Amino acid sequence: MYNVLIVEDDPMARKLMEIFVSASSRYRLVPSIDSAAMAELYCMTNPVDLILMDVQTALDANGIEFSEKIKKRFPNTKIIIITSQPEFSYIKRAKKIGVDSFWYKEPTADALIRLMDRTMQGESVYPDAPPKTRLGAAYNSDFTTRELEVLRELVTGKTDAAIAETLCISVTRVKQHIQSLREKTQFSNRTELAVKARESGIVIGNYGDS
Amino acid sequence: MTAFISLPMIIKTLLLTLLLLTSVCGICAVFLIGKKQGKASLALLTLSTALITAMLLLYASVIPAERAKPNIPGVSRWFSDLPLMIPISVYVLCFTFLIIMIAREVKRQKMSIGPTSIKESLDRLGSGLCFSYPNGLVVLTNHKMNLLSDAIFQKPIQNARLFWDALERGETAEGVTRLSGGDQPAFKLPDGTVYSFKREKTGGFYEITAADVTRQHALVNELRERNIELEKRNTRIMEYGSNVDEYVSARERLETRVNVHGFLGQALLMTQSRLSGGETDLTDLLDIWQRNIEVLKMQSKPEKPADSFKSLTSAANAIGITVSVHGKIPQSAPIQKLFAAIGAEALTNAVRHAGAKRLEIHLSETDTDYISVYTNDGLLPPAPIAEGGGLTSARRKVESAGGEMTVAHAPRFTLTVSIRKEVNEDV
Repeated sequence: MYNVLIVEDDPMARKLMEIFVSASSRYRLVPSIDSAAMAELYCMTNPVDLILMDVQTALDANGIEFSEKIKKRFPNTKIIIITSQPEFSYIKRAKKIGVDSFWYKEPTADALIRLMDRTMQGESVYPDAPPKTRLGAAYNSDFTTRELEVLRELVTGKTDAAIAETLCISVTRVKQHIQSLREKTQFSNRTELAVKARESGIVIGNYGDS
Repeated sequence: MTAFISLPMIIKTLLLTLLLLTSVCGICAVFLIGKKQGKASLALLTLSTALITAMLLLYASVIPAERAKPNIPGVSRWFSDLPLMIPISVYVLCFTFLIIMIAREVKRQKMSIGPTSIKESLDRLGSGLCFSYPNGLVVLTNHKMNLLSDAIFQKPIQNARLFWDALERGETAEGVTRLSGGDQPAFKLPDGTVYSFKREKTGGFYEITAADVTRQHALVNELRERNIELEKRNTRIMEYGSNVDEYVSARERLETRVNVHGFLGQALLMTQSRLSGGETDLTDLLDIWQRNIEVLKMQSKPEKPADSFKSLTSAANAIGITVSVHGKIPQSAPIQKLFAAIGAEALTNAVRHAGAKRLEIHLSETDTDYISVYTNDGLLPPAPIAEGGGLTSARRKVESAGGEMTVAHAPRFTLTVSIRKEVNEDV
């Protein structure tokens, strides 16, 4: 039997996952927590085989960032990142730091248990791409990686010059990317673009700073 | 061919006048421009002038002789008897040479640079220029600079150093606005033009220049206005960004509720099937209803605002560690969240390095700061701890919020965080 720690700040989503996990005889729940900031401490004091880790958790703790710390200290503990946000860089970053699997939230117990089983058997299960999400007249798959990077900085309220400095590109290139984003989405101005982009979850500004 | 001697008196007088004028011009040219045109030109110019003067004298000597009938010198008689074509040809040659020489001199003077040409060209400049000695004595100033001095101070430049001091102080006449001071003071004149002044030391002189920056000033103003608008827009986006997380979380909770209702529908369908004689397992059915009731119970509870310290203490309690919070919890939610997040880092650190079982958090505030002090019951560090991992992360959080973090190692490990109240909205 594997000990499973759920890190999720939404009480109802947490309860649902607890119900899903407790339905399987192969897994034993340890008390869930709402902040990734406490997960490492939990692993230090209790044996944990698998963590179901949300990305945005209480105390502004980013699940991916804290997963990196846990993986360094407890490499045998499996981690599944769970999110409903289609932020394009989550998958890439999770892979980079050695997170075992990645799951976009689905309201079915079977899908989660199957994923947990495969992960505990040593498989690394990742979706090919974030779920298709609409932004204005375009989908997230219509944007280039660079456009999405510019968009992520844009939603934080940075000026073109600040975006250029962060991404090490010229201000002219930043303007070109924003123009391209506006043409694809058909949004009339950058404010609308930034607001809708953040609401959609395609990009989440400062997600790595927590 | 007619000779001079046979010409009517009026024609003779005219010819003599012409020769006299040409001779005078030639003599002036020899003295004024001859040396400037080189030795060969001077020799030719002298020869031409001498020939014309000789012609003048020879013809002149014939006229009074005619009147008084005295003895006319032989050479004069001989010259005045010559056909006119010969002296005319000589005259034309000499005169042409004289004109060429004068034209060359005029051209040379136009092409050469002298004090006058320098002053003339400086006066034509659109920019102001003033050269002076270090004590302010003006060496050279152009028309534009005098006009600017008149427009700004209502007097011409008398001493360049005093003029510059006045520019720096910005003591201007009415209607003139100083736009900037410092090394490059700029003024807007009553006619709307903008001039920027600059002083540089070149050699042993000071050079003050004034450039017309009216167009640049207008463009800078336009750019500034656009930047202000952009700043406002970016601020709105930032403010929105700080609220959107709550919006996104609320939307996620709503989606979860929708999913829960789906489970409830599934349970109802299974129950109906069982009641209709279906083969649904009763234990499974009860299990499903049990789970639905648990979720429904949660759904019926009113949503409480997130309590950051409760999140920290309950998570710690779950693993047998006590977190005690003392003092007044700050009203500001971002500050609460930050202090609790630092508490989580401090707790992890204390357990990892000191085997602590208890974390004490003392909260207080002054007129200007929120203060949080973290201590634990773990082992004392044998030596000052090099910051890394958790402490570095905590420091980054604190400093990005405009606060300060200090670490004391004796008499016990103490972490103190202070955040200024006026920046707490930016946390």
